[in-house]
Amino acid sequence: MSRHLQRRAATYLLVFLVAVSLNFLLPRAIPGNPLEELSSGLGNLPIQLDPETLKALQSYYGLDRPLLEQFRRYLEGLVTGQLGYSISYRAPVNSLLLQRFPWTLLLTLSSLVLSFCAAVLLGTRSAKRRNGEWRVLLPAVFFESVPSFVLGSLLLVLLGVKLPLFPLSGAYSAFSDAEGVWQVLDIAHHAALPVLVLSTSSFFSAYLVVRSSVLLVSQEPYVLMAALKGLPEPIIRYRYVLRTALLPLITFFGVRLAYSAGGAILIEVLFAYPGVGRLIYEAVLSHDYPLLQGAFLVFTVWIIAVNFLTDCLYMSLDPRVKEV
Amino acid sequence: MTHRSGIVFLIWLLAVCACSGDDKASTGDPSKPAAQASRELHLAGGDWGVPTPFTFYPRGPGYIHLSLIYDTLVWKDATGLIPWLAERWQRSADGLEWTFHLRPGAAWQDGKPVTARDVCFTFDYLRKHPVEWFDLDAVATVLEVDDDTALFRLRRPYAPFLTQVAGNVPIIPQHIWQDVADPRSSATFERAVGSGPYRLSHYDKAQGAYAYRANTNFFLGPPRIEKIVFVPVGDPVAALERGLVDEGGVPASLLARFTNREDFAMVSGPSYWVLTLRFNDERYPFSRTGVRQALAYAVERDALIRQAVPGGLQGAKPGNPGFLPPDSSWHDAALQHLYPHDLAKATALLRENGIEDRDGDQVCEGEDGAPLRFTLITTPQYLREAEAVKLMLEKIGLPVQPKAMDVKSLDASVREGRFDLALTGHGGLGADPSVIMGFGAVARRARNFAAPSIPEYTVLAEQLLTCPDLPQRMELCRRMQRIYAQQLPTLPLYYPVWFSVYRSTVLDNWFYTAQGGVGIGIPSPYNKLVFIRGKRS
Amino acid sequence: MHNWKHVTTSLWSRSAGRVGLLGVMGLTVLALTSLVWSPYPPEAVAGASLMPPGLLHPLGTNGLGQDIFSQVLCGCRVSLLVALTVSIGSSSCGFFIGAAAGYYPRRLGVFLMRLVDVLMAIPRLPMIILLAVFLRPHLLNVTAVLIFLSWPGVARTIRSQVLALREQDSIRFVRFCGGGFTYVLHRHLIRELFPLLLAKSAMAASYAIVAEAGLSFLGLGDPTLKSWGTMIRGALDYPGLLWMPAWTWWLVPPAMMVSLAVFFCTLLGYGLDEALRRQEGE
Repeated sequence: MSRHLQRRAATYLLVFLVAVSLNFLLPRAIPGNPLEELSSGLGNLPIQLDPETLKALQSYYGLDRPLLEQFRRYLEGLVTGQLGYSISYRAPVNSLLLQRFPWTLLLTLSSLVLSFCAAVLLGTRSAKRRNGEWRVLLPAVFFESVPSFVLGSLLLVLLGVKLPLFPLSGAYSAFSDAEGVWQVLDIAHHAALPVLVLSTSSFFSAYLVVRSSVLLVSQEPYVLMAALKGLPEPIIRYRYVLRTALLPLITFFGVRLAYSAGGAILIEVLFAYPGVGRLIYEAVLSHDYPLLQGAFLVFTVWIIAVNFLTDCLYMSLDPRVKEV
Repeated sequence: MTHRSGIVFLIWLLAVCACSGDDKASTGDPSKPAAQASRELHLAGGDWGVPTPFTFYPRGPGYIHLSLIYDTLVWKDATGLIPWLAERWQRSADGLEWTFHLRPGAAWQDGKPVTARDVCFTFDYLRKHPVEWFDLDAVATVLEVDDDTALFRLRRPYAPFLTQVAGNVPIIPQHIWQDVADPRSSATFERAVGSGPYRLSHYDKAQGAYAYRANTNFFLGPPRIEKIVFVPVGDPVAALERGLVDEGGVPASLLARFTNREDFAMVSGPSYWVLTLRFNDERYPFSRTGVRQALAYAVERDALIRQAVPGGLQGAKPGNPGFLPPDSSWHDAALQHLYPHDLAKATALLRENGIEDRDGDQVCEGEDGAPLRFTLITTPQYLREAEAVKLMLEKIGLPVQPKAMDVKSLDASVREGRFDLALTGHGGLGADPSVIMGFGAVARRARNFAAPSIPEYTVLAEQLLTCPDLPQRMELCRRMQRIYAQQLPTLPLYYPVWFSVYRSTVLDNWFYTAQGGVGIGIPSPYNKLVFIRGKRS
Repeated sequence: MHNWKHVTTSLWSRSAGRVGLLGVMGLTVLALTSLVWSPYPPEAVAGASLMPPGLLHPLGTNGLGQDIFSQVLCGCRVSLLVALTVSIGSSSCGFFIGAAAGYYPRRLGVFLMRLVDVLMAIPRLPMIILLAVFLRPHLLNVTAVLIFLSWPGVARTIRSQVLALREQDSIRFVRFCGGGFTYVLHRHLIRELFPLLLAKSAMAASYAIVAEAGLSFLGLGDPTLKSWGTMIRGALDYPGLLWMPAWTWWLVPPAMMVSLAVFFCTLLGYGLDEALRRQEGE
């Protein structure tokens, strides 16, 4: 491993440690008690915990132990892969996360791939024409500015209610016996709106990156040379320019991939999509420590892993980085 | 060029999605047309946990799911308690022993018979692995007399035993749970086996979808509704209109969309919920009983219902100073008109307590001469009511500033005494009065509710909890209400009504359960009896 | 050294910059207006529920009968306040820390940059949600969290600029003559980097608007204030609203306003950035 990579790895390890400790401490600092949240709230039935039950429950969840011991148990659990038992969902955190993470992954990956493909296609073409920049820039910036949940709620009304093309919530039809292709279509149908929203918000920044990168590369002497040689335009565009221009895009893709999983929370909440984002949101609302820790950990590990992979990939593609 | 390609791209995307949409629509919702024929019922879903006693979410709908699979010793219908797993029962004269005779022929869904041993096991096991919903504090031991007879020994007489324990605790099969050391993490789908009318056939936690199939071996015969499906819906009202569900709670403001429609009918009932104006009785001037009473004279409860939310509070009943709703059989009607709208009386009462408008600026000053101003905290949902209360209090020279906050902040502010006035709600008022929060102030349980702080009230509350004799309890309860109405720790404003709209072609015998609702008093129309009996023929 | 007049004219000459500047100014006027005047108090029940737009209520009323126009105005104030505070807070924090890290690249710089790395690798939105809940919902806390999470980006950019600047002849000379960090900072670095900082803070502002709206949308913002995010959430939570015509005047105005506010701030940021780059190019 090169020095550069080693340094990155050390940083990520540090990040991981900080995240793990924050992860433990922050939920416990939130005012409120998870056991109280079980049945509180306006209009709910009054469940009066008698002191004995409360004590028994606290000891079951280990909430009566000193903080340090709770921390030790938490670390032990991390090492053995036991993330505890969700208080509000009444299920092991592991299984909850395993159930939910693929859905988040589906949303993020498909929206990113979609938006990047579109960005590369359109970005290389538009970079040809250098004048009238603002005509491209203004709408691009506008669509980038619309917050994802705003766009999502408008699309929800337009394409889910007014023109009922898409389901309003969920990741697949409940109780459908669809199999094979139909099942895939059903999932795609449910994911369509969230993916559309997420890809719209990442499309324009990707598009801008591609465009500026292509513009920069097409001024390089070797591209001019190729043009002088009389090579056909598409060959120049895709083989000469795009290859080099894609390099900054890889980092950009990596960063996006790392952070968009967390960024999808709002969209998952809006579309009632069963991803980790919605899980973390609900865990916050019910002060469910074990679940919060688990979900937060998933996001942290995801970000670190993707960032590290991006670093490695970038290095193998661009030899200049090794010299740093 | 770029523009156009962007638009083309979007259109392409839409087209692709729309295609899959059309495909879906043709195959979509395959179960629906067959629903009527096979007596299938669709209800609004939501995740409420695996329906076992250890994993259901301890909120209303969670218990409803539990009750489909599991049975309790007694149950409730529209009129009151009925025999269920126990076919009859006796109470000893001192109220310390209860004997339950199990119904012969009751069997678990896996075929084994339900015996008194299961009953004993249930209570032992729940004591070892407590669940907040089940309050077993009063139960000392449960003994197996013979195969069909179980004897409960109580620690002290416990008047609401039948509803709070026998009608609430689900009996679980010993052969399934006896070897389970940690029921919380091992209560899986497969372990959701009870003796009830339905068995779980599908559960999807992520989506909040459940499907139940009728248990053909059920002791009352096969249930008429053969399949109950809880489907995830975003907006229950819209889902009802679009036919995704066959029943749904509808806010009064939206009822108009379902009236005069042939396929829909409505059942309504008391919500056993109250909106109260809560006083901070640790803060001047609300620490004075007279001031609290003055406010009760000033706040016109009838007008509040009429004006605050036009059409939105259809059928709601005005608050009873004695706290209990008029729908409750324990309600003391004599108190209902204790504080009629009377501004002169309110002003006089304020003056007696040193509060009056001395400088003629329409704002009262307190004893120290400083003008009085209060904040009225509430949740955004009850802002209209807060505004109406503000107008009413302005008339007696008490300026109030409504302030909306979320439920949790409100709860915390009230708990920590950081407020002047608060509009908050209480639910479950249909249950036995001795367990109602804010009313039966049993000292040991005092937590987060307002109750008169005078000792006599606490004594009465203790007696109400243990006294076995109904007329005597009625009298105790009446005395407590009188104290409550006189002390006014809170001023009940109104009791709303619950509306449930249903498709009468699918199921039409919906009713409201007696004594406050299903189980310990869940005001929900989903009493399993409805599903067992099916459509009226 | 940057020529200020040049930067401003350059900003004005580009349509992006011009639109952004005008838009932000317009929103500021709206926000200031709402301080002294709004048709109704934003919380007050001013009419029947779900009244369509009309003379009394230019944008109609919501489910509670509150005036939507007044709420939009109030939301403008909340959003701009958060945007302004976060942009000033995060850019000044980022500037000082970044400058210090660049000026002392050895121990302090390494330490600060590790800190920046760590903060930047923490999942942002989950962290914001967690912190917002942990600190109790209050506008001040929301602002503090946003500043806490957005200064590292600024610091990183500033550091790389300072690393380059400190090797410039003029600054080397000042240092040689005994000018310390604070001297160099306020005599040279601030002047050199101010336009860049301005561009960065415009970006931070647009991020802050999105984040505040998102938090309020999740119901984790300040519950006592009517912000655009709260309005959107209120509209989506209202049973059956999407099937009624009322969504057009309840949901759309705050949605449009958030988008426009972010749009203008972003444009301003791009415009400044571009003006800066063009000047450097010359």
